[in-house]
Amino acid sequence: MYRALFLKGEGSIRSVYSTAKLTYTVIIVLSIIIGRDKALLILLLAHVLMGALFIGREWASASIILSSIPAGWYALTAYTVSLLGIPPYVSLVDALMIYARVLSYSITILFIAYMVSPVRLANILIKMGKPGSSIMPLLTWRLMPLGLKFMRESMMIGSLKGEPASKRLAPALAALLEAGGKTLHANYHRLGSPPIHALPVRNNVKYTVVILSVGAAVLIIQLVF
Amino acid sequence: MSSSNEPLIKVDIIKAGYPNGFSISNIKLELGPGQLLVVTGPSGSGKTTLVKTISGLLKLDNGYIDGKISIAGKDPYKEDSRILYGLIGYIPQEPWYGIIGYTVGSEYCLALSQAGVKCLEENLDEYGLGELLDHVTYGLSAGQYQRLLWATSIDRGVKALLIDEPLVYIDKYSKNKFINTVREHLEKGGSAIVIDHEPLAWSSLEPKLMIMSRGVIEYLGPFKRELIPEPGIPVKKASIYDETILEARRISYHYPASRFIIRGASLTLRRGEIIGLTGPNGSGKTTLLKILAGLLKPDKGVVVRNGRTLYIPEEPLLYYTHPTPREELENSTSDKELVREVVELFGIGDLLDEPLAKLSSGERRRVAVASAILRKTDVLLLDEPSAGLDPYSLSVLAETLVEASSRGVGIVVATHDPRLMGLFDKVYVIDGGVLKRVLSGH
Repeated sequence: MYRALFLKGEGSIRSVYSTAKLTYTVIIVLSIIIGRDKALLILLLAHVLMGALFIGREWASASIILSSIPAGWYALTAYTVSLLGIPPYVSLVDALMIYARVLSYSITILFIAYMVSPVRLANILIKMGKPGSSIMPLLTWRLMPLGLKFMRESMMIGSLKGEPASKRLAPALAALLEAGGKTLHANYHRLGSPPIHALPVRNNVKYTVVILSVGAAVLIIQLVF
Repeated sequence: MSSSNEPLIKVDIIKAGYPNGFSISNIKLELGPGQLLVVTGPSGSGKTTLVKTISGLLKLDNGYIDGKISIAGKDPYKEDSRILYGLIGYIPQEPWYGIIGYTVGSEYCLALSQAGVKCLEENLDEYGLGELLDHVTYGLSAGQYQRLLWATSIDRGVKALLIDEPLVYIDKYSKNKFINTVREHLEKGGSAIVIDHEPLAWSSLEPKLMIMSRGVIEYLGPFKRELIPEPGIPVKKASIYDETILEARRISYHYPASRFIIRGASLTLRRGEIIGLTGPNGSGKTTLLKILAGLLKPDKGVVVRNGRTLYIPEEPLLYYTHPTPREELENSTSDKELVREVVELFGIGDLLDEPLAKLSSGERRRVAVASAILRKTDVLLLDEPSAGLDPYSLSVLAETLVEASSRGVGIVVATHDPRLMGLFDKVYVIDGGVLKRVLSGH
């Protein structure tokens, strides 16, 4: 989860122009609605490749692992239910297609979620006249990895103590609540002072061109082939 | 440091604290431009309450104040948050909690914007953070967190700095650098209050010294070395055992998308030994502990463990499974008599029914070590166990570790704290990915 969403900062595909991100997202949503398997497989390949090249190989591997959980679940349950004689009939090839489809949807969602820039979100909120709320996206992206780290460490310590994973949620939550309290104390006057100026952002033409080209290619494949 | 003009920080507290709880009283002090006050005293003496009272944080905890505080002529209990944020720079003991922005650049510009100042990201070069502009703040080293807080404090023009135990998590190089930046702040006419269990580190800045005890001032005046308490760290006897219980052979490790943080490290721990593991911030001490514990798998090399291993992290709360020490200890073994014996030996009888949330870091660590003994642990790995401990709490923790080692537990302690060095049988330094044994502790 950490590698799939919080691994890196404002560089790479987060520096794509906001309008280009929006356009790309609309194209992808359209593609998913049209829902041709050919395009879905192209999306899967495009996102794994773009992720590996622009975000990092660890993003691609983490996203595939994370997405394989729902993909595997859907494929397996559909196949098992079919084997039990409950219609519709699902062959092994159908099950593999279900796996590929869900994998593609899930990786696409992770890729688009990764494109979201908390800094740009904060700026949008400042421009909308909600400067007090503009801290929230930044704080969320700041604290989520901390929460995931606490969860991971708690699980690890549980394994050393020989305790079941179900018992390790409470310590992680307690540590996270304490961290929240300390953050509040350390930033008391600050949290009562909404930002006045928008935060600087850097747009990257190269990544914008790549994103728009991939979007255009997917759209053409969907509509023409 | 020189002093002149009107005081920047004026404190006249008759009484301040929490309803039906702890309070501080009769505290009067003034700090002018260029003046530094170092506050020390045992845990529970009121140092943190004093800083909370001065900064106006007391109202967040429903506290009360009978008296008057003034920071550059402003009352922290009446003034607007933005003005106070522009005047007061607070650097907490765990500096990462002072950061809101998710990247270095966004944190810097957000902080300045919140104080009404327009940011110039190029200025981060002056603080050695220019290269990290788009880097996520999660995962910075403690020294980098401090530099970032420092950059936002100085560039928004704060007059008064309130700094809580700033040297705890940083290496020697970062310590000297941090002390020098405080010096520069004072030379520019600012003032600062530093809470520190190691006040000697600040002596070169000729600070005023305040020693607190039970909520009142025990001493306030010029810095006097002889007034500063020293921790009574016990001298550990050499281990009587000859059995190797942990051996790391030529291990290497790297995190995704980064270079090798550990290269070819080898280490041997015998039963009853205490090993110190030190090195600069970000050098891989915690990573090595996690590899030794078996929580991370090395890319190369092997770790051989002959016995049960436990790891107590920097945040000791994560060790616990149960809400009170009694439940934690009683669930660590079925031998009630052993629980009674260990509780008595570690002097934690008074803490048994306290909720964990109310225990200090030192108390949490002591109970965790007691639990590890009850679990018949052979190898105990501790990450920064002395962070934030006063000399008394530190010596109690050290005695706890010596007691554990005398019972045959092998211990590895990752630390920056020079006060602990006498406790170790062996000291290893990790730097640039390479682990070297430097000296024997005793």
